[in-house]
Amino acid sequence: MRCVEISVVVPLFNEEDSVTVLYESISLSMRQLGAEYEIIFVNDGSDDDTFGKSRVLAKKDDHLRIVEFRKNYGQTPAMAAGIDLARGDIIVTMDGDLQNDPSDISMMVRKLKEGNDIVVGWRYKRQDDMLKRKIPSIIANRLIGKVTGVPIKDNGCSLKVYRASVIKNTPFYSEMHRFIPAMLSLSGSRCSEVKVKHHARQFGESKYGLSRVYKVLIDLMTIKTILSLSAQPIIWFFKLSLLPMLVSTLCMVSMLPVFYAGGSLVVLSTIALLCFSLGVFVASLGFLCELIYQESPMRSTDFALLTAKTEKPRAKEIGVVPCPINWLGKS
Amino acid sequence: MSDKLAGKKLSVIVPVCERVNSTVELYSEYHTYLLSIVGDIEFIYVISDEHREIAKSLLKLKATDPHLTVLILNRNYGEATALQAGFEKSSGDYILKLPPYRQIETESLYKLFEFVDDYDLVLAKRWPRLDGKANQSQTRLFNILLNRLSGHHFNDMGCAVRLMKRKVLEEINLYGNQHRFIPLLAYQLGFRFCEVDLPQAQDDTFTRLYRPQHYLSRVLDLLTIIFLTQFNRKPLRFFGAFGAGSIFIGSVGLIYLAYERLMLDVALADRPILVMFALFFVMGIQLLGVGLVGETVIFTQSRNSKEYRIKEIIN
Repeated sequence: MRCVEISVVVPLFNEEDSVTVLYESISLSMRQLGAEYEIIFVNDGSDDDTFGKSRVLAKKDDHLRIVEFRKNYGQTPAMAAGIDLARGDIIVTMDGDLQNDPSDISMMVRKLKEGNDIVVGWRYKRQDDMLKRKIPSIIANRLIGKVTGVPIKDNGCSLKVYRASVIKNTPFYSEMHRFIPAMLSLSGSRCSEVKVKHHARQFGESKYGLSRVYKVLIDLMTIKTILSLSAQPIIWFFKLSLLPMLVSTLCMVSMLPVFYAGGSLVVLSTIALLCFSLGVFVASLGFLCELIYQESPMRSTDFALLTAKTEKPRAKEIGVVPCPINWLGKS
Repeated sequence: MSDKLAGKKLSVIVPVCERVNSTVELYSEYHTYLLSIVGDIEFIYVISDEHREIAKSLLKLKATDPHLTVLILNRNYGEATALQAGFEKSSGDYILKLPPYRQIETESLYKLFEFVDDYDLVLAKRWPRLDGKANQSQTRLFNILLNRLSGHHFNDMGCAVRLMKRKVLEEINLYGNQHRFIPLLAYQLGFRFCEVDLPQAQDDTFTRLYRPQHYLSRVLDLLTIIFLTQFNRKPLRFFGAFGAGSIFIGSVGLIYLAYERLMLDVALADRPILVMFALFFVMGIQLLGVGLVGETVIFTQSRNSKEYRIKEIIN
């Protein structure tokens, strides 16, 4: 088996028109880079001839690996499969619709070797519909940055370069690929964002819709919870329960003068009791989460290990080592 | 002789749990018929202890019959567990699950084998139906509900006759009452299934009316399986929708009540609607909380379970 340095992972879903062009442009830019590489096409249960066309390509070139899914599972599972099977030390993920440009990879790999664990693409001149795609995306990215504390300008860009040892240990499921930089911040990974080219769609329709708003909001809530409670679930839920408990106490205190004056207590007592029960409920969730974390194969200490496992970039490959960027200020 | 199964072994698993009739005669019927069309075959009867008489009579047959295995479970663990237990004892390349009562005409079973090349799972659909309106409308109602929720198109999920490749049961983790929904679980794992019309047996035509608990548990099973297959990676999407809706109703109501009380000076104390809106608000937060706990379960276990199933890797 060849020793692979860079693995390029591309999820494909109904891309029979673009698959050949995509393969050729990735191969070209990888050959220019001069590293040992492999390209992993993950065919996510396409209805068209994506698999047939890519199989023809793979017969001629053993740099190309094809992973065929049994059915359509979605983009994140497809990326996860590619990442699981990748053999390189550096893993590149990108879209299969030719909107990302493989010629950016070499620049991003260089950026990674400067001492980053993840390099994220930023489609600064995005070739998409203004109203439907760009404005929701800007709002979403601002929101994600605010909530997770990892200010990435373009979370939706699939063109990302990872150090394999870091990404292979990161949970990658459902539609979480948007939040990978945020998740990696758990381990204090060094993250950097670079401008990349972006082309208008050549073939087919965009596979997203506006229904993503609900999904992004819900996923954001999830990731926020996971990020905040990962170390000490009980404490986090106890803090959450403080607010209803406080409201409950205030209501009870303000009930006293009304009680002695012989007034009606219905409104205040309703709010006091409900808030109290809510507080107890939230706090008890903390115990439940503590139990879940205790029983799980993943502990808060694992997050630290993620970076501990990161190999130092090999000296000969780096010219100048700049100070690694650390968004969270943790190390 | 069916040439589709040439060189392959067939394991017939019959879980004997609740509904049973004429098991021993039916066994010899299955036995004679299937031996005439399949070469290599084994029969596995999984019998819960309450059907001890059946077990005894089958064990008598076993003395002279090399194809028969009888498995006795200490109590009734449910059909899914019985099937799983039988499967673990089996060695066939194909598994045929048959009921211990006549549901379809035995002579029509050959039709199932015609589809094994193209599909991983072949489901029987009782058609033409001989039974009355009451039975048929129950079947239809259940399947309409199922199709609405799952987005598939099933016609007879209640039929117990199923032929599947060994790997289907190897990959599925069955428990409780999930045996009925094997096709849904199999679809999740990327297996392909089809429905085949088999004529209903005369014995299956008696009118079935169950106690209300039976119907309730059927619907609950259905909801469980829908939740497990559609939201198993994103519980908060499920709980979040209800939670957010509930919080919205609650907070709009509370704001309006506060406005009435403070601006219009309408008395609040004697109106139960305050309790209702406050409860909606609290319930919403509780639903979100439960969803978040679900998400932490998924997150912490995500390393153990792969979401995708790979058919083939080239190079």
